Amino acid sequence: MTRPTSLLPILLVACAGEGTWAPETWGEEYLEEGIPAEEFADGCAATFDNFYVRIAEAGLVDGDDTVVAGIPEALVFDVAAAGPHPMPEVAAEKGFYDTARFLIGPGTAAEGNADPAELDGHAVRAVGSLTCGADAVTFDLTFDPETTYDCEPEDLTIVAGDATPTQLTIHGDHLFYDGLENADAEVRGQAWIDADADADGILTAEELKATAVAPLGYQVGSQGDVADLHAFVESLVGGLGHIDGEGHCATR
Amino acid sequence: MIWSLLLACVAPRPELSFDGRLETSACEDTHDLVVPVDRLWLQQPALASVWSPIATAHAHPGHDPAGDVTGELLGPWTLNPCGDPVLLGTGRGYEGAVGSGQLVLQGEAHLEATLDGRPVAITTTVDAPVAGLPLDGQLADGIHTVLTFDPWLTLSVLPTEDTDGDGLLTEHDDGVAEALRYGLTNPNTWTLSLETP
Repeated sequence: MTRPTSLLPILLVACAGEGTWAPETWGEEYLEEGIPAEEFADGCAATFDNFYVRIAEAGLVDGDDTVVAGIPEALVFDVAAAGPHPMPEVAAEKGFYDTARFLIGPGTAAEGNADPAELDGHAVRAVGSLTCGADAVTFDLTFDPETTYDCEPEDLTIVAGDATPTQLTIHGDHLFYDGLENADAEVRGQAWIDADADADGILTAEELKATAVAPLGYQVGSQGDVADLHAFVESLVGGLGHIDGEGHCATR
Repeated sequence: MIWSLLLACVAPRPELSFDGRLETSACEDTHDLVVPVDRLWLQQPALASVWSPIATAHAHPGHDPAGDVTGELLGPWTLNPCGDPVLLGTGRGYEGAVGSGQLVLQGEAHLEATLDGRPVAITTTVDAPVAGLPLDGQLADGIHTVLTFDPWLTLSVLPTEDTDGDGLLTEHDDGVAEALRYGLTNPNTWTLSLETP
């Protein structure tokens, strides 16, 4: 009995005119191929075997700050694999949208391009290695910040016909920043090497947690409670997302 | 363009003045402390900034997520938070809500203290903000801004290893100068409040 009534809004939207939004995500060359030594202020270099992210939401936001079109479920992507990686296309009313919203955070998810079991409910998992001169560590680290990215693409207009793309770009080099908010933050790796306290070549979350930030010269800005290197990196993980390459997003 | 038209229709906000004061802190293990402070900013709540026609900050490495500056008290001052209270002079600003404060430390900092029975004497250059000092209130004409300093964090994060073996913990020991800067620029070290006359 209710079916005809519930179809009405869909028909009305269709009459107003619909197009297609095509969100995608990409880890760029830094996550796919590695971060070369010239990008590190201290000459280190990093490569990633996997970089899993759980994208819990991807949607278009209207002027009332309401998500009016979005992917139907959380998805897990390995952005160290060759991309960009498409998310499901979304039907959206034609028109201009000034904000695309993405949420990266922990929880259950379906497969994007990677098995959700690889992430095991975490928000982000980074698997790779870091080399600084003759020293090297491997790492397999999970992080659980929950970050909503409100991004303003340059011209996000849904039109009839071709799908309109928007890319959530993941900046892997920011994982190694030496500052959380300062504009002159640099990419450094030596602190990760030094954090491998037992020198077994495997950097663990526990070793990061046991490494105090204060003697490193790293700046925490307004995040005064960040006292260890794991908390520091987790805060950085909460800001890896960008829009269409280099575009910045407001985060919360 | 629309914002420009709207701004043209809005009368400019009247400027107000406020003053600043540094209170004395209890510094039992600290014998001497010099903190170079260049200025104090009072900032709007971040949400107000988001809807401002002026360019907004984004929370991202390289960006301070606080709101726009609405009050400014200019130094520079060479402060000893363990000494007598210090009047910081008169600042200028605009009436309205404030959501945080920011100090900018710039210059040579010095600490002499006793840590676990060991003498500490550190001199280092600092050039960084103390960002995100919590502050909740309204900036109004004649209001007092009161700054206090807690030495605990600055002392507690100092490495205790005398790596150069000279019997003294100084800026020449590994990580000591960096830790002093971390402590002095940490927002948990400072408290900022508004006091109505």
